[in-house]
Amino acid sequence: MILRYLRQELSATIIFTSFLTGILFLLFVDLIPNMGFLFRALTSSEYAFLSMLWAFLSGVPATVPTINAWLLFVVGFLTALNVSLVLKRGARLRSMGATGSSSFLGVLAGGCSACATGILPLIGLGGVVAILPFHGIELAVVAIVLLCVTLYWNARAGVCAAD
Amino acid sequence: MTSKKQGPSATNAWMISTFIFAGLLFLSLVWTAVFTMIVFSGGLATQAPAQTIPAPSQPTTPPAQQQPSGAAPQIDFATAHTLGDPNAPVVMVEYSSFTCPFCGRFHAETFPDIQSFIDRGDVFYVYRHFPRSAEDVRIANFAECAAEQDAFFSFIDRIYSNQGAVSDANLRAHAQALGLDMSAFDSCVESGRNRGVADDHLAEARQVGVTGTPTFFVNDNRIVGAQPFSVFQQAIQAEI
Repeated sequence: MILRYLRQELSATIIFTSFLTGILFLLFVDLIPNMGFLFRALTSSEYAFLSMLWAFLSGVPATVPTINAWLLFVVGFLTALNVSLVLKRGARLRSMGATGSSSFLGVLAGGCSACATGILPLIGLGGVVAILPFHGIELAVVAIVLLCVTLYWNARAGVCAAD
Repeated sequence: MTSKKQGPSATNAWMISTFIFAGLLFLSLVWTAVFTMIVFSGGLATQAPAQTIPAPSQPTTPPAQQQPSGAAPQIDFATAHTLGDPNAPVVMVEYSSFTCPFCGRFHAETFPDIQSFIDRGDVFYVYRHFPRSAEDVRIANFAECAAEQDAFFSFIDRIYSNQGAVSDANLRAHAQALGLDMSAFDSCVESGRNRGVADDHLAEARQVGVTGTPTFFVNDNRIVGAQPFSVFQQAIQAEI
């Protein structure tokens, strides 16, 4: 019943938007450490900002490890799916909170702390992730599992409301 | 029929954790923005300016001989591992780790293109260690001993080309292949007198907010990650 509901509620538009969100999550995590330089490129006449931005974006496959990139994309994708269901159905506070927590966990653990992409190194917590056996990948996996759980909750919320 | 209820404590826990994570994310964005603005205004010179190369008798001092006043680290170029013309308009500093695969990728794929800027006299390149582990410190000790025989860059080229083989025997083999004086090399390595160099570079890197590798400074511009050549090309050309 949950799967039928999901098939009903998750339109092609939502799926496509979620796909784009996944890509944006990935690009965001890679661009964050270079924000200062990009800001300078934007405000200085010596740089072609769009050209510089494109150069950074095209470098994402080289700067973010493949598995980290896929995990970030999945976190973004699932986050967008969850948010869509929450907005459609006005799901319970628990679901909204769980969605937010899981998504943020996935984003913060995303990237590559050792290779300086990502968000946690920016606030001096790169070492926290670096000492983990899989350097943060396990946190992203936990986030994805939680997002799947919240997707189930959000779907069930819609089903229950219909009863 | 009511479904199994989640108590208010479970809901609160989720909301609290959401706020914590959101707070961390917000903090990181704010900190990055503030740090960027401070260093670009020259307000983070926490070290005394390092000794500069003496200026020649010219009306103007070439930019590369001036220590950057903004985000870039203060480095004693006279004792650093450098390539190129000290009078070049662009100073490019790299913080790198021998065990970081992205540093290896940069040295294999991008650095050969940057070498052309160095050869033309547009870029003065400076290499700094950023040890992420005791392994890096050990390897850096070998590299610094190669530097004593003016073979630093040849030696690290071999390391980056063979990052999977960095045992003491492998590193010693690199030194032999380069034709170094092995008696002096072995003596240097065993003495450990260069072990502090990597830690000094690390402390310097921390002061300018370097948190991972590879991290570059193209004059005052910080570039993080093994970015494609087009990023460095644009950054360098804008500074020339």
